[in-house]
Amino acid sequence: MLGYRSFSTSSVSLKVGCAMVKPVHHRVKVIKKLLSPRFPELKLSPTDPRSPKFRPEITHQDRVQEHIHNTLRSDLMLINYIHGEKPAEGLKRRQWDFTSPYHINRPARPPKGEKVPTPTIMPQSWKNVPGIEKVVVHSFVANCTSDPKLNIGVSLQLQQITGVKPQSVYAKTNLPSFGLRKGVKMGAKVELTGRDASQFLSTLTELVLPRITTFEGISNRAGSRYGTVSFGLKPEDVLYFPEIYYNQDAWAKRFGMDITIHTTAQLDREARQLLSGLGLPFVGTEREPKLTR
Amino acid sequence: MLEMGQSEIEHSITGYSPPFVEVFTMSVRNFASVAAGSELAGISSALLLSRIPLVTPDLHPFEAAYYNYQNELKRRLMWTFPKYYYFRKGTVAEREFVQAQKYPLFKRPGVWFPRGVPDLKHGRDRRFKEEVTLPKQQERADEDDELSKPVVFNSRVTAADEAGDLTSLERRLSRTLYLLIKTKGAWKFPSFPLVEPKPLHEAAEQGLREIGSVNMNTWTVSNTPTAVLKYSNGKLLDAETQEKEVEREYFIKSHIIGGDFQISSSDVEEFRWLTKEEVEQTVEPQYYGQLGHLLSTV
Repeated sequence: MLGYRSFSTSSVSLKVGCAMVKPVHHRVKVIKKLLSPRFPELKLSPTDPRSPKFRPEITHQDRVQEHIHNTLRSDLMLINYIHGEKPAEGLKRRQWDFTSPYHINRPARPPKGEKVPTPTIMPQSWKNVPGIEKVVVHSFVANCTSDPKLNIGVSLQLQQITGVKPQSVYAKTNLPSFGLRKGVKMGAKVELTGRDASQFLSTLTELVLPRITTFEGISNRAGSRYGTVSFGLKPEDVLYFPEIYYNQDAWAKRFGMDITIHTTAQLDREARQLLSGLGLPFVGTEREPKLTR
Repeated sequence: MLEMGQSEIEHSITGYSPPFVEVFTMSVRNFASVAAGSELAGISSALLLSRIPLVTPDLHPFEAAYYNYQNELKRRLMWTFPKYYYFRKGTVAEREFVQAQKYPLFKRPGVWFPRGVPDLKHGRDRRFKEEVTLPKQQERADEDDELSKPVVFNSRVTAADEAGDLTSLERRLSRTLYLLIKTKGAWKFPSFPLVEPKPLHEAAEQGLREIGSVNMNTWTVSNTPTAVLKYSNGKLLDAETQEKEVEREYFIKSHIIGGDFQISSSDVEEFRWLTKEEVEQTVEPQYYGQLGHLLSTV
Protein backbone atom coordinates (compact mmCIF):
# COMPACT_ATOMS: atom_id res chain seq x y z
CA MET A 1 0.00 0.00 0.00
CA LEU A 2 2.51 2.56 -1.17
CA GLY A 3 -0.09 5.18 -1.99
CA TYR A 4 -1.44 5.13 1.55
CA ARG A 5 0.14 7.89 3.55
CA SER A 6 0.53 7.96 7.30
CA PHE A 7 1.78 11.30 8.39
CA SER A 8 4.13 10.61 11.28
CA THR A 9 5.70 7.28 10.38
CA SER A 10 6.12 5.22 7.28
CA SER A 11 3.63 2.54 6.55
CA VAL A 12 3.78 -0.46 8.86
CA SER A 13 3.93 -2.79 5.88
CA LEU A 14 7.27 -1.37 4.74
CA LYS A 15 9.01 -2.46 7.97
CA VAL A 16 11.95 -0.09 7.95
CA GLY A 17 13.63 1.51 10.91
CA CYS A 18 13.16 5.16 9.94
CA ALA A 19 10.34 7.19 8.40
CA MET A 20 10.44 7.15 4.59
CA VAL A 21 7.63 9.69 4.37
CA LYS A 22 8.64 13.27 5.04
CA PRO A 23 6.46 15.01 7.64
CA VAL A 24 3.93 17.36 6.11
CA HIS A 25 4.97 20.43 8.10
CA HIS A 26 8.44 20.41 6.52
CA ARG A 27 6.88 20.82 3.09
CA VAL A 28 5.27 24.18 3.85
CA LYS A 29 7.71 26.69 2.38
CA VAL A 30 8.23 29.75 4.52
CA ILE A 31 9.60 33.00 3.06
CA LYS A 32 11.17 34.51 6.14
CA LYS A 33 11.50 38.03 4.74
CA LEU A 34 7.75 38.14 4.39
CA LEU A 35 7.26 37.16 8.03
CA SER A 36 9.56 39.94 9.19
CA PRO A 37 7.96 43.31 9.94
CA ARG A 38 11.07 45.16 8.75
CA PHE A 39 10.34 45.32 4.98
CA PRO A 40 6.61 45.94 4.59
CA GLU A 41 6.98 46.98 0.92
CA LEU A 42 8.20 43.48 0.00
CA LYS A 43 4.77 42.15 0.87
CA LEU A 44 3.17 44.27 -1.83
CA SER A 45 2.35 42.87 -5.25
CA PRO A 46 4.78 43.91 -8.05
CA THR A 47 1.80 45.59 -9.75
CA ASP A 48 1.44 47.98 -6.79
CA PRO A 49 3.22 51.31 -7.47
CA ARG A 50 4.58 51.28 -3.89
CA SER A 51 6.45 48.00 -4.50
CA PRO A 52 10.17 48.28 -5.40
CA LYS A 53 9.53 45.74 -8.16
CA PHE A 54 6.92 47.95 -9.84
CA ARG A 55 7.59 48.81 -13.50
CA PRO A 56 5.00 50.77 -15.52
CA GLU A 57 3.91 48.71 -18.53
CA ILE A 58 1.10 50.63 -20.21
CA THR A 59 3.01 53.78 -21.10
CA HIS A 60 1.76 54.45 -24.64
CA GLN A 61 -1.18 53.87 -26.92
CA ASP A 62 -0.57 50.48 -28.62
CA ARG A 63 -1.65 51.07 -32.21
CA VAL A 64 -0.98 47.49 -33.36
CA GLN A 65 -3.20 46.01 -30.67
CA GLU A 66 -5.82 48.69 -31.30
CA HIS A 67 -5.84 47.89 -35.02
CA ILE A 68 -6.28 44.19 -34.22
CA HIS A 69 -9.08 44.92 -31.78
CA ASN A 70 -10.94 47.58 -33.75
CA THR A 71 -10.60 46.34 -37.32
CA LEU A 72 -9.10 42.88 -37.73
CA ARG A 73 -11.00 40.82 -35.14
CA SER A 74 -14.45 41.18 -36.68
CA ASP A 75 -13.05 40.46 -40.16
CA LEU A 76 -11.15 37.35 -39.01
CA MET A 77 -14.28 36.09 -37.29
CA LEU A 78 -16.32 36.49 -40.49
CA ILE A 79 -13.64 34.95 -42.75
CA ASN A 80 -13.38 31.73 -40.76
CA TYR A 81 -16.98 31.40 -39.65
CA ILE A 82 -18.81 28.34 -40.92
CA HIS A 83 -22.43 27.95 -39.87
CA GLY A 84 -23.12 24.87 -37.74
CA GLU A 85 -19.49 23.77 -37.72
CA LYS A 86 -18.47 20.91 -35.42
CA PRO A 87 -15.07 20.52 -33.69
CA ALA A 88 -12.53 18.69 -35.90
CA GLU A 89 -11.07 16.03 -33.62
CA GLY A 90 -7.29 15.83 -33.63
CA LEU A 91 -5.36 12.59 -33.60
CA LYS A 92 -5.02 11.41 -30.02
CA ARG A 93 -3.04 8.61 -28.32
CA ARG A 94 -4.70 5.20 -28.82
CA GLN A 95 -5.58 3.21 -25.70
CA TRP A 96 -5.18 -0.58 -25.62
CA ASP A 97 -8.39 -2.60 -25.63
CA PHE A 98 -7.44 -4.50 -22.41
CA THR A 99 -8.11 -7.92 -23.95
CA SER A 100 -4.79 -9.01 -22.47
CA PRO A 101 -3.80 -8.59 -18.82
CA TYR A 102 -0.49 -7.17 -20.06
CA HIS A 103 -2.34 -4.10 -21.35
CA ILE A 104 -2.66 -2.80 -17.78
CA ASN A 105 -0.08 -0.05 -17.19
CA ARG A 106 1.16 -0.30 -20.79
CA PRO A 107 1.59 3.21 -22.20
CA ALA A 108 -0.96 4.27 -24.83
CA ARG A 109 0.08 3.92 -28.48
CA PRO A 110 1.02 7.06 -30.39
CA PRO A 111 -1.64 8.56 -32.70
CA LYS A 112 -2.10 6.97 -36.10
CA GLY A 113 0.50 8.32 -38.52
CA GLU A 114 1.87 10.82 -35.98
CA LYS A 115 4.33 10.80 -33.13
CA VAL A 116 2.58 13.33 -30.91
CA PRO A 117 -1.15 14.08 -30.54
CA THR A 118 -2.57 16.88 -32.67
CA PRO A 119 -4.97 19.45 -31.21
CA THR A 120 -8.72 19.43 -31.74
CA ILE A 121 -9.70 22.38 -33.92
CA MET A 122 -12.71 24.15 -32.46
CA PRO A 123 -15.28 26.08 -34.56
CA GLN A 124 -14.66 29.79 -35.01
CA SER A 125 -16.54 31.89 -32.48
CA TRP A 126 -16.08 35.29 -30.89
CA LYS A 127 -14.13 33.59 -28.10
CA ASN A 128 -11.26 32.19 -30.21
CA VAL A 129 -10.50 34.94 -32.71
CA PRO A 130 -6.70 34.91 -33.23
CA GLY A 131 -4.44 37.45 -31.54
CA ILE A 132 -0.72 38.00 -31.00
CA GLU A 133 0.60 36.07 -28.01
CA LYS A 134 4.33 36.83 -28.09
CA VAL A 135 7.26 37.34 -30.45
CA VAL A 136 10.51 35.45 -29.86
CA VAL A 137 13.68 36.79 -31.49
CA HIS A 138 16.46 34.21 -31.41
CA SER A 139 20.07 34.51 -32.58
CA PHE A 140 22.17 31.35 -32.72
CA VAL A 141 25.76 32.12 -33.73
CA ALA A 142 27.76 29.11 -34.91
CA ASN A 143 31.11 30.93 -34.57
CA CYS A 144 30.63 31.25 -30.80
CA THR A 145 32.45 27.92 -30.39
CA SER A 146 35.69 29.46 -31.61
CA ASP A 147 35.06 33.05 -30.48
CA PRO A 148 32.99 33.19 -27.25
CA LYS A 149 33.22 37.01 -27.16
CA LEU A 150 30.63 37.13 -29.96
CA ASN A 151 27.99 36.34 -27.32
CA ILE A 152 28.35 39.89 -26.01
CA GLY A 153 27.70 41.37 -29.45
CA VAL A 154 24.67 39.17 -30.07
CA SER A 155 23.05 40.08 -26.76
CA LEU A 156 23.79 43.75 -27.28
CA GLN A 157 22.31 43.73 -30.78
CA LEU A 158 19.09 42.10 -29.57
CA GLN A 159 18.82 44.53 -26.67
CA GLN A 160 19.38 47.50 -28.99
CA ILE A 161 16.71 46.38 -31.43
CA THR A 162 14.01 45.23 -29.00
CA GLY A 163 14.72 47.21 -25.83
CA VAL A 164 14.34 44.05 -23.73
CA LYS A 165 17.07 42.25 -21.80
CA PRO A 166 18.11 39.09 -23.69
CA GLN A 167 18.68 35.62 -22.27
CA SER A 168 21.64 33.49 -23.37
CA VAL A 169 21.03 30.31 -25.35
CA TYR A 170 23.19 27.21 -24.91
CA ALA A 171 24.07 24.26 -27.15
CA LYS A 172 21.71 21.38 -26.42
CA THR A 173 23.78 18.52 -27.87
CA ASN A 174 27.35 17.50 -28.66
CA LEU A 175 28.22 17.80 -32.35
CA PRO A 176 31.98 17.16 -32.60
CA SER A 177 32.06 17.74 -36.37
CA PHE A 178 30.96 21.36 -35.80
CA GLY A 179 33.04 21.72 -32.65
CA LEU A 180 29.83 22.02 -30.66
CA ARG A 181 29.79 20.92 -27.03
CA LYS A 182 26.71 20.64 -24.85
CA GLY A 183 26.22 23.61 -22.53
CA VAL A 184 28.34 26.11 -24.48
CA LYS A 185 26.84 29.59 -24.81
CA MET A 186 25.81 29.99 -28.46
CA GLY A 187 23.91 33.27 -28.74
CA ALA A 188 20.89 34.96 -27.21
CA LYS A 189 17.12 35.36 -27.46
CA VAL A 190 14.41 37.73 -26.28
CA GLU A 191 10.72 37.09 -25.66
CA LEU A 192 8.58 40.11 -26.44
CA THR A 193 5.04 40.56 -25.18
CA GLY A 194 2.64 43.48 -25.05
CA ARG A 195 3.84 46.81 -26.35
CA ASP A 196 7.42 45.60 -26.95
CA ALA A 197 6.08 42.98 -29.37
CA SER A 198 3.84 45.55 -31.09
CA GLN A 199 6.73 47.98 -31.42
CA PHE A 200 8.99 45.30 -32.88
CA LEU A 201 6.34 44.16 -35.38
CA SER A 202 5.61 47.68 -36.59
CA THR A 203 9.34 48.44 -36.98
CA LEU A 204 9.69 45.23 -38.94
CA THR A 205 6.75 45.80 -41.27
CA GLU A 206 7.23 49.54 -41.81
CA LEU A 207 11.00 50.08 -41.79
CA VAL A 208 12.97 46.85 -42.12
CA LEU A 209 11.19 44.49 -44.52
CA PRO A 210 10.36 47.14 -47.18
CA ARG A 211 14.06 48.03 -47.44
CA ILE A 212 15.29 44.45 -47.96
CA THR A 213 15.58 44.19 -51.74
CA THR A 214 15.70 40.37 -51.83
CA PHE A 215 12.70 39.92 -49.53
CA GLU A 216 9.64 38.54 -51.34
CA GLY A 217 7.57 37.53 -48.36
CA ILE A 218 7.38 34.99 -45.59
CA SER A 219 6.96 31.44 -46.89
CA ASN A 220 3.43 30.10 -46.62
CA ARG A 221 4.95 26.81 -45.51
CA ALA A 222 6.84 28.34 -42.60
CA GLY A 223 5.03 27.51 -39.40
CA SER A 224 4.25 24.96 -36.76
CA ARG A 225 0.95 23.98 -38.48
CA TYR A 226 -0.97 25.15 -35.42
CA GLY A 227 -0.69 28.93 -35.32
CA THR A 228 2.99 29.82 -34.99
CA VAL A 229 4.82 31.49 -37.88
CA SER A 230 8.61 31.81 -38.13
CA PHE A 231 11.07 33.39 -40.52
CA GLY A 232 14.65 34.57 -40.51
CA LEU A 233 16.65 37.73 -41.16
CA LYS A 234 20.20 37.58 -42.49
CA PRO A 235 23.03 39.69 -40.96
CA GLU A 236 22.85 42.13 -43.90
CA ASP A 237 19.07 42.56 -43.37
CA VAL A 238 19.50 43.42 -39.70
CA LEU A 239 21.26 46.61 -40.83
CA TYR A 240 17.90 48.21 -41.60
CA PHE A 241 16.71 48.33 -38.00
CA PRO A 242 16.98 52.07 -37.24
CA GLU A 243 18.93 51.43 -34.02
CA ILE A 244 21.66 49.81 -36.13
CA TYR A 245 21.29 51.89 -39.28
CA TYR A 246 21.98 55.24 -37.60
CA ASN A 247 24.96 53.92 -35.64
CA GLN A 248 26.66 51.70 -38.19
CA ASP A 249 30.17 52.44 -36.94
CA ALA A 250 29.40 50.59 -33.73
CA TRP A 251 28.02 47.58 -35.63
CA ALA A 252 30.86 46.29 -37.76
CA LYS A 253 29.73 42.75 -36.96
CA ARG A 254 26.03 42.00 -37.27
CA PHE A 255 24.16 38.80 -36.54
CA GLY A 256 21.18 37.15 -38.22
CA MET A 257 18.05 36.34 -36.26
CA ASP A 258 15.14 33.92 -36.28
CA ILE A 259 11.78 35.54 -35.54
CA THR A 260 8.93 33.39 -34.25
CA ILE A 261 5.49 34.94 -33.92
CA HIS A 262 3.28 32.99 -31.53
CA THR A 263 -0.41 33.63 -32.09
CA THR A 264 -3.54 32.25 -30.47
CA ALA A 265 -4.71 31.03 -33.91
CA GLN A 266 -5.57 27.33 -34.13
CA LEU A 267 -4.11 26.88 -37.63
CA ASP A 268 -1.28 28.55 -39.54
CA ARG A 269 -3.78 29.77 -42.13
CA GLU A 270 -5.57 31.82 -39.48
CA ALA A 271 -2.27 33.11 -38.11
CA ARG A 272 -1.29 34.26 -41.61
CA GLN A 273 -4.64 36.02 -42.03
CA LEU A 274 -3.93 37.93 -38.82
CA LEU A 275 -0.33 38.77 -39.75
CA SER A 276 -1.30 39.86 -43.29
CA GLY A 277 -3.63 42.34 -41.61
CA LEU A 278 -0.58 43.73 -39.81
CA GLY A 279 1.33 44.16 -43.08
CA LEU A 280 3.48 41.01 -43.29
CA PRO A 281 3.46 39.61 -46.85
CA PHE A 282 3.31 35.84 -47.54
CA VAL A 283 4.40 33.91 -50.64
CA GLY A 284 4.41 30.34 -51.92
CA THR A 285 2.15 27.32 -51.69
CA GLU A 286 0.23 26.56 -48.52
CA ARG A 287 0.33 23.44 -46.39
CA GLU A 288 -2.73 22.42 -44.41
CA PRO A 289 -2.79 19.74 -41.71
CA LYS A 290 -5.06 16.78 -42.40
CA LEU A 291 -8.38 16.15 -40.68
CA THR A 292 -9.13 19.78 -40.03
CA ARG A 293 -11.57 22.24 -41.42
CA MET B 1 -19.95 2.74 -50.02
CA LEU B 2 -23.70 2.51 -49.85
CA GLU B 3 -23.69 3.24 -46.13
CA MET B 4 -21.53 6.29 -46.62
CA GLY B 5 -23.81 7.60 -49.33
CA GLN B 6 -26.88 7.18 -47.15
CA SER B 7 -25.30 8.92 -44.19
CA GLU B 8 -24.30 11.84 -46.39
CA ILE B 9 -27.83 12.22 -47.65
CA GLU B 10 -29.23 12.04 -44.14
CA HIS B 11 -26.78 14.67 -43.00
CA SER B 12 -27.74 17.01 -45.79
CA ILE B 13 -31.43 16.55 -44.98
CA THR B 14 -31.21 16.90 -41.22
CA GLY B 15 -28.45 19.50 -41.22
CA TYR B 16 -29.44 23.14 -41.09
CA SER B 17 -28.87 24.84 -44.43
CA PRO B 18 -27.59 28.38 -43.96
CA PRO B 19 -29.04 31.20 -46.07
CA PHE B 20 -26.06 31.50 -48.40
CA VAL B 21 -26.26 27.81 -49.28
CA GLU B 22 -29.88 28.34 -50.12
CA VAL B 23 -28.85 30.85 -52.75
CA PHE B 24 -26.50 28.43 -54.41
CA THR B 25 -29.03 25.61 -54.52
CA MET B 26 -31.56 28.00 -56.04
CA SER B 27 -29.07 29.12 -58.61
CA VAL B 28 -28.34 25.54 -59.60
CA ARG B 29 -32.05 24.91 -60.01
CA ASN B 30 -32.26 27.97 -62.20
CA PHE B 31 -29.58 26.69 -64.48
CA ALA B 32 -31.34 23.36 -64.76
CA SER B 33 -34.96 24.31 -65.24
CA VAL B 34 -36.48 27.79 -65.18
CA ALA B 35 -35.15 31.07 -66.44
CA ALA B 36 -33.54 33.49 -64.01
CA GLY B 37 -35.63 36.24 -62.50
CA SER B 38 -38.59 34.46 -61.01
CA GLU B 39 -36.66 32.44 -58.43
CA LEU B 40 -34.10 35.13 -57.69
CA ALA B 41 -36.72 37.83 -57.33
CA GLY B 42 -36.72 37.82 -53.54
CA ILE B 43 -32.96 38.04 -53.09
CA SER B 44 -30.70 41.03 -53.09
CA SER B 45 -27.09 41.54 -52.11
CA ALA B 46 -26.17 44.63 -50.09
CA LEU B 47 -22.70 45.97 -49.45
CA LEU B 48 -21.38 47.19 -46.12
CA LEU B 49 -18.49 49.13 -47.63
CA SER B 50 -16.23 50.73 -45.03
CA ARG B 51 -13.11 52.81 -44.92
CA ILE B 52 -11.06 51.61 -41.95
CA PRO B 53 -9.45 54.20 -39.61
CA LEU B 54 -6.31 55.81 -41.02
CA VAL B 55 -4.92 57.11 -37.71
CA THR B 56 -5.00 55.91 -34.10
CA PRO B 57 -8.24 56.40 -32.14
CA ASP B 58 -8.71 59.70 -30.32
CA LEU B 59 -7.80 59.40 -26.66
CA HIS B 60 -10.17 60.31 -23.86
CA PRO B 61 -8.53 62.97 -21.62
CA PHE B 62 -8.36 60.42 -18.81
CA GLU B 63 -6.58 57.89 -21.07
CA ALA B 64 -4.12 60.56 -22.18
CA ALA B 65 -3.43 61.54 -18.56
CA TYR B 66 -2.96 57.90 -17.57
CA TYR B 67 -0.49 57.20 -20.39
CA ASN B 68 1.40 60.40 -19.59
CA TYR B 69 1.66 59.52 -15.89
CA GLN B 70 2.86 55.96 -16.58
CA ASN B 71 5.33 57.19 -19.19
CA GLU B 72 6.85 59.79 -16.87
CA LEU B 73 7.08 57.15 -14.14
CA LYS B 74 8.87 54.77 -16.49
CA ARG B 75 11.33 57.45 -17.57
CA ARG B 76 12.03 58.20 -13.92
CA LEU B 77 12.88 54.49 -13.35
CA MET B 78 14.97 54.09 -16.52
CA TRP B 79 18.67 53.42 -16.57
CA THR B 80 21.02 56.37 -17.09
CA PHE B 81 21.85 56.95 -20.77
CA PRO B 82 25.14 55.07 -21.51
CA LYS B 83 27.13 57.94 -23.00
CA TYR B 84 30.33 55.87 -22.94
CA TYR B 85 28.73 53.35 -25.32
CA TYR B 86 27.58 55.76 -28.02
CA PHE B 87 30.42 58.29 -27.85
CA ARG B 88 34.03 57.17 -27.68
CA LYS B 89 36.04 59.14 -25.14
CA GLY B 90 38.13 62.01 -26.53
CA THR B 91 36.26 62.33 -29.84
CA VAL B 92 34.63 65.48 -31.22
CA ALA B 93 31.23 63.79 -31.08
CA GLU B 94 31.64 63.15 -27.36
CA ARG B 95 32.64 66.76 -26.68
CA GLU B 96 29.65 68.09 -28.63
CA PHE B 97 27.31 65.76 -26.79
CA VAL B 98 28.69 66.76 -23.40
CA GLN B 99 28.34 70.45 -24.27
CA ALA B 100 24.72 70.00 -25.37
CA GLN B 101 23.62 68.44 -22.06
CA LYS B 102 22.11 70.41 -19.21
CA TYR B 103 23.69 68.89 -16.13
CA PRO B 104 21.86 69.03 -12.78
CA LEU B 105 23.02 70.88 -9.70
CA PHE B 106 25.30 68.92 -7.42
CA LYS B 107 25.01 68.73 -3.68
CA ARG B 108 27.07 71.26 -1.64
CA PRO B 109 27.22 71.59 2.12
CA GLY B 110 25.58 74.65 3.58
CA VAL B 111 23.49 75.37 0.49
CA TRP B 112 19.68 75.38 0.56
CA PHE B 113 18.09 73.68 -2.45
CA PRO B 114 14.47 74.82 -2.97
CA ARG B 115 13.62 71.74 -5.14
CA GLY B 116 15.15 69.32 -2.60
CA VAL B 117 18.66 67.95 -2.09
CA PRO B 118 20.10 66.51 -5.35
CA ASP B 119 20.76 62.77 -5.49
CA LEU B 120 23.42 62.49 -8.22
CA LYS B 121 24.82 59.28 -9.75
CA HIS B 122 26.83 59.34 -13.02
CA GLY B 123 25.83 62.94 -13.68
CA ARG B 124 22.10 62.26 -13.29
CA ASP B 125 19.70 63.38 -10.61
CA ARG B 126 17.98 60.15 -9.66
CA ARG B 127 14.89 61.93 -8.36
CA PHE B 128 13.84 62.98 -11.85
CA LYS B 129 13.72 61.54 -15.35
CA GLU B 130 16.78 62.04 -17.50
CA GLU B 131 16.61 64.54 -20.37
CA VAL B 132 19.03 63.66 -23.19
CA THR B 133 19.64 66.50 -25.68
CA LEU B 134 21.14 65.66 -29.06
CA PRO B 135 23.73 68.21 -30.25
CA LYS B 136 22.77 70.39 -33.24
CA GLN B 137 24.96 69.52 -36.19
CA GLN B 138 26.09 73.02 -37.22
CA GLU B 139 28.28 72.01 -40.18
CA ARG B 140 25.51 70.03 -41.82
CA ALA B 141 22.61 72.39 -41.10
CA ASP B 142 21.65 72.56 -44.77
CA GLU B 143 21.31 68.78 -45.03
CA ASP B 144 18.32 66.82 -43.81
CA ASP B 145 19.38 66.34 -40.20
CA GLU B 146 16.89 63.66 -39.16
CA LEU B 147 17.97 63.03 -35.60
CA SER B 148 18.03 66.51 -34.10
CA LYS B 149 15.04 67.78 -36.10
CA PRO B 150 11.95 68.21 -33.91
CA VAL B 151 9.06 65.90 -34.76
CA VAL B 152 6.05 67.83 -36.09
CA PHE B 153 2.83 65.85 -36.37
CA ASN B 154 0.33 66.30 -39.17
CA SER B 155 -3.10 67.53 -38.13
CA ARG B 156 -5.73 64.91 -37.36
CA VAL B 157 -8.37 67.36 -38.62
CA THR B 158 -8.38 67.51 -42.42
CA ALA B 159 -9.67 70.06 -44.91
CA ALA B 160 -12.73 67.85 -45.51
CA ASP B 161 -13.51 67.95 -41.77
CA GLU B 162 -13.30 71.72 -41.70
CA ALA B 163 -15.44 72.10 -44.84
CA GLY B 164 -17.98 69.54 -43.54
CA ASP B 165 -17.64 67.51 -46.75
CA LEU B 166 -19.55 64.26 -46.11
CA THR B 167 -18.59 62.76 -49.49
CA SER B 168 -14.85 62.82 -48.86
CA LEU B 169 -12.93 59.71 -47.85
CA GLU B 170 -10.47 61.95 -46.01
CA ARG B 171 -12.82 62.99 -43.24
CA ARG B 172 -12.85 61.67 -39.65
CA LEU B 173 -9.49 59.89 -40.03
CA SER B 174 -9.69 58.12 -36.68
CA ARG B 175 -13.11 56.57 -37.34
CA THR B 176 -14.52 53.84 -39.56
CA LEU B 177 -16.64 55.36 -42.35
CA TYR B 178 -19.49 53.57 -44.14
CA LEU B 179 -20.89 54.28 -47.59
CA LEU B 180 -24.54 55.30 -47.63
CA ILE B 181 -26.43 56.10 -50.85
CA LYS B 182 -29.76 57.87 -51.40
CA THR B 183 -32.10 56.14 -53.83
CA LYS B 184 -35.78 57.09 -54.27
CA GLY B 185 -35.44 59.57 -51.43
CA ALA B 186 -34.28 57.01 -48.84
CA TRP B 187 -30.81 56.62 -47.35
CA LYS B 188 -29.58 53.00 -47.34
CA PHE B 189 -26.48 50.90 -47.78
CA PRO B 190 -25.99 50.09 -51.48
CA SER B 191 -28.17 47.09 -52.36
CA PHE B 192 -28.46 45.18 -55.62
CA PRO B 193 -31.19 42.68 -56.60
CA LEU B 194 -29.79 39.39 -57.89
CA VAL B 195 -30.59 39.22 -61.62
CA GLU B 196 -28.46 36.23 -62.57
CA PRO B 197 -27.28 33.23 -60.56
CA LYS B 198 -23.91 34.21 -59.09
CA PRO B 199 -22.40 34.36 -55.58
CA LEU B 200 -23.66 37.17 -53.37
CA HIS B 201 -20.28 38.83 -52.90
CA GLU B 202 -19.65 38.96 -56.65
CA ALA B 203 -23.09 40.45 -57.25
CA ALA B 204 -22.45 43.12 -54.62
CA GLU B 205 -19.01 44.04 -55.99
CA GLN B 206 -20.33 44.20 -59.55
CA GLY B 207 -23.30 46.31 -58.52
CA LEU B 208 -21.03 48.72 -56.67
CA ARG B 209 -18.97 49.30 -59.79
CA GLU B 210 -22.11 49.97 -61.78
CA ILE B 211 -23.36 52.72 -59.47
CA GLY B 212 -19.91 53.97 -58.46
CA SER B 213 -16.91 53.95 -60.70
CA VAL B 214 -14.55 51.22 -61.82
CA ASN B 215 -11.65 53.26 -60.43
CA MET B 216 -12.24 51.84 -56.99
CA ASN B 217 -10.16 49.18 -55.28
CA THR B 218 -12.20 47.23 -52.74
CA TRP B 219 -11.49 44.09 -50.74
CA THR B 220 -14.35 41.73 -49.90
CA VAL B 221 -13.77 40.36 -46.43
CA SER B 222 -15.67 37.09 -46.87
CA ASN B 223 -18.28 35.46 -49.06
CA THR B 224 -20.24 34.75 -45.88
CA PRO B 225 -22.91 37.43 -45.39
CA THR B 226 -22.64 39.34 -42.14
CA ALA B 227 -26.39 40.03 -41.79
CA VAL B 228 -29.75 39.47 -43.46
CA LEU B 229 -32.78 41.73 -43.56
CA LYS B 230 -36.23 40.43 -44.43
CA TYR B 231 -38.83 42.45 -46.34
CA SER B 232 -42.43 41.84 -47.27
CA ASN B 233 -43.72 43.93 -50.18
CA GLY B 234 -40.84 46.36 -49.69
CA LYS B 235 -41.59 46.79 -45.96
CA LEU B 236 -38.85 45.86 -43.46
CA LEU B 237 -39.87 43.04 -41.11
CA ASP B 238 -38.59 42.15 -37.64
CA ALA B 239 -35.56 39.86 -37.45
CA GLU B 240 -37.61 37.11 -35.73
CA THR B 241 -40.45 37.17 -38.23
CA GLN B 242 -42.17 33.85 -38.95
CA GLU B 243 -43.45 34.83 -42.39
CA LYS B 244 -42.60 32.44 -45.20
CA GLU B 245 -42.96 34.65 -48.28
CA VAL B 246 -40.26 37.24 -47.65
CA GLU B 247 -37.62 39.04 -49.71
CA ARG B 248 -34.14 38.74 -48.27
CA GLU B 249 -31.32 41.26 -48.37
CA TYR B 250 -27.89 39.78 -47.51
CA PHE B 251 -25.08 42.07 -46.33
CA ILE B 252 -21.56 41.49 -47.62
CA LYS B 253 -18.70 43.18 -45.77
CA SER B 254 -16.04 44.99 -47.78
CA HIS B 255 -13.29 47.60 -47.31
CA ILE B 256 -12.29 50.34 -49.73
CA ILE B 257 -8.53 50.25 -50.24
CA GLY B 258 -7.99 52.79 -53.01
CA GLY B 259 -9.80 55.12 -55.38
CA ASP B 260 -13.02 56.95 -54.67
CA PHE B 261 -16.77 56.48 -55.07
CA GLN B 262 -18.14 58.65 -57.91
CA ILE B 263 -21.79 58.48 -58.89
CA SER B 264 -22.16 56.90 -62.35
CA SER B 265 -25.80 55.83 -62.23
CA SER B 266 -28.96 57.95 -62.40
CA ASP B 267 -30.57 55.81 -59.65
CA VAL B 268 -28.22 57.24 -57.04
CA GLU B 269 -29.18 60.75 -56.01
CA GLU B 270 -26.52 61.34 -53.37
CA PHE B 271 -23.87 59.47 -51.36
CA ARG B 272 -22.07 59.98 -48.05
CA TRP B 273 -19.24 58.45 -46.06
CA LEU B 274 -20.51 58.41 -42.46
CA THR B 275 -19.52 57.19 -39.00
CA LYS B 276 -21.78 54.98 -36.92
CA GLU B 277 -23.44 57.88 -35.09
CA GLU B 278 -24.03 59.76 -38.35
CA VAL B 279 -25.50 56.64 -39.96
CA GLU B 280 -27.94 56.38 -37.03
CA GLN B 281 -29.15 59.92 -37.65
CA THR B 282 -29.44 59.47 -41.43
CA VAL B 283 -31.24 56.14 -41.93
CA GLU B 284 -34.65 54.91 -40.72
CA PRO B 285 -34.67 53.89 -37.01
CA GLN B 286 -35.97 50.38 -37.78
CA TYR B 287 -33.28 49.85 -40.43
CA TYR B 288 -30.56 51.04 -38.05
CA GLY B 289 -31.97 48.89 -35.23
CA GLN B 290 -31.22 45.72 -37.22
CA LEU B 291 -27.81 46.81 -38.55
CA GLY B 292 -26.39 49.16 -35.91
CA HIS B 293 -24.52 46.39 -34.08
CA LEU B 294 -22.46 45.68 -37.22
CA LEU B 295 -20.98 49.17 -37.34
CA SER B 296 -17.74 49.98 -35.55
CA THR B 297 -17.74 52.40 -32.63
CA VAL B 298 -14.13 53.32 -33.45
